[in-house]
Amino acid sequence: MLLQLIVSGLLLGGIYALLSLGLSLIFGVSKFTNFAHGDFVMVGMYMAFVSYGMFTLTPYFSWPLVMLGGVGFALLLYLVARSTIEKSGLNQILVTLGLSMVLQNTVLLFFKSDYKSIPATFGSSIKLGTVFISTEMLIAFVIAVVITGGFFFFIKYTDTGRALRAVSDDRAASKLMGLPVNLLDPIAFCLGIVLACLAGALLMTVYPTTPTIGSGYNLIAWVTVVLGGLGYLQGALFSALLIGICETVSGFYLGADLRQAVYYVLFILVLVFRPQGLFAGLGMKKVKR
Amino acid sequence: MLKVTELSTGYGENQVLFGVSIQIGQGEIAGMVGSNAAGKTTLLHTISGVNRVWAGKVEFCDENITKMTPQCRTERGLIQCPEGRRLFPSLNVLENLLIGSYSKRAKPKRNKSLKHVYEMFPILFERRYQPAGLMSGGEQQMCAIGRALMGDPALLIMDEPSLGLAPIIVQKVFEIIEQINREGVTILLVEQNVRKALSISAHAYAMESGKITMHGTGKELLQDENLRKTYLGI
Repeated sequence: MLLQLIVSGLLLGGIYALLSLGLSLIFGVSKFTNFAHGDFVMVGMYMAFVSYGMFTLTPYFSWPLVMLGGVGFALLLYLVARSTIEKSGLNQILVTLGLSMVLQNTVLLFFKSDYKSIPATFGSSIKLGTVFISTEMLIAFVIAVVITGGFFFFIKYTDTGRALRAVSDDRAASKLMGLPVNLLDPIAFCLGIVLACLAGALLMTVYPTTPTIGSGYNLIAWVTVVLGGLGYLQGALFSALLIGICETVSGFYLGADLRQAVYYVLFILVLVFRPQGLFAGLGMKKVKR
Repeated sequence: MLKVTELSTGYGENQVLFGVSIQIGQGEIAGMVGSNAAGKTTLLHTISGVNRVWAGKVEFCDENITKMTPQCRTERGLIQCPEGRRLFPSLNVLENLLIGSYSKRAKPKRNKSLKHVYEMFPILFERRYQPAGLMSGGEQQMCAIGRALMGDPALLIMDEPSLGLAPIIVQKVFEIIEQINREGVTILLVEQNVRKALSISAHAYAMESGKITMHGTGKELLQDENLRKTYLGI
């Protein structure tokens, strides 16, 4: 049973990785505290839902539309929040919490508060030894892995990716070096929000959605990013997998109501004993100057 | 090549520079000395465009760049090698160097510049896949100078390049500065190592409390009674 739970948790964590990577990137590059991140997951879910409703496209085919929409919403966020970049985090929290309310209520206005879902494309599960895996979940996971791989390739090997990492390391020095920080901010926003929307579209193949579902994902994203070390991309990836496993295992043994409590306890423990993040220092530590 | 006229700036309410004027000719090394908090770094940041100008004018190659973004200035070959090196610690040495050639000006010459930097600093080639933050101070300074050279500088602004380095490395840094200058790069050198800085500078300025208090050839300043008392303790 435990093996089953760990496998399911890993699959879920793979999708969580998309939202925490996006959040971590935006926080790292722009030092921007986005408390509306989960709502962009929700927006991604509704974009997938609408694509299905209008064109009967399942998320496996509607992802280009979701990405396009994601870029639009990212630019909206950037437009609303750009004046708070390099200002106090409190301003950023206020702006994004406000935006979060606007997004939730706009969606509520158009779609009502009832749960929306897309019928399963496969609906079966695959048996691997003693472990059952939902086909939907497995495909979503594989897609998430491909996207994550592409994201890391971009960050690691392209000029723009390298510049994003440099700005994340030292924003002031990046300006002095003549990096176009004002252009890299919206690029980071676009990447981050598109990842969140894609995560939403993938989650839509498995779970139903409702306008307020974003707050849960927002907390998951923040917990994983803090666990991994703020602004630390590899850390965010590993802690997303960990939180996924944590959620399924505790959900089974303690009941669905308590499963969030478990990773908040973990979260508090990390803040107390390892505030730099769980994975900081494993061969990828930030070097002190 | 660089002409700064009556420049005033500061942070918030605090004025730091009070009408600073300097002029640097093509191909020379210009030195700038002054005690801590005299406003030297502020002046350099303003020349690079990361500080807003309150009043005055900055011209580079007969073009008014007072309101230009730092990015546009690097595109024109105005490159700074900042104080304290400011390498990107999680990037490796090669990535740090590549960041230096991000501009449209420098990118086409990237491979050539990289080869040149590796010839100048063979240690950087050996360490190219090592995180920049793990190197010694001297190696980090080489990397910072290399990164600035990757930007194809016409004017290289160096802020305290010998700060915190062992004497033998300091000597090396000054040799490198002269070598870069011989290759045709104009240099604005801010240094706390006053004697060394002035002895290689064609022109030099002394700065105190946000004002230029003295200027002349490097030799003249070195022989000036006041300056010797203030900075050299003799």
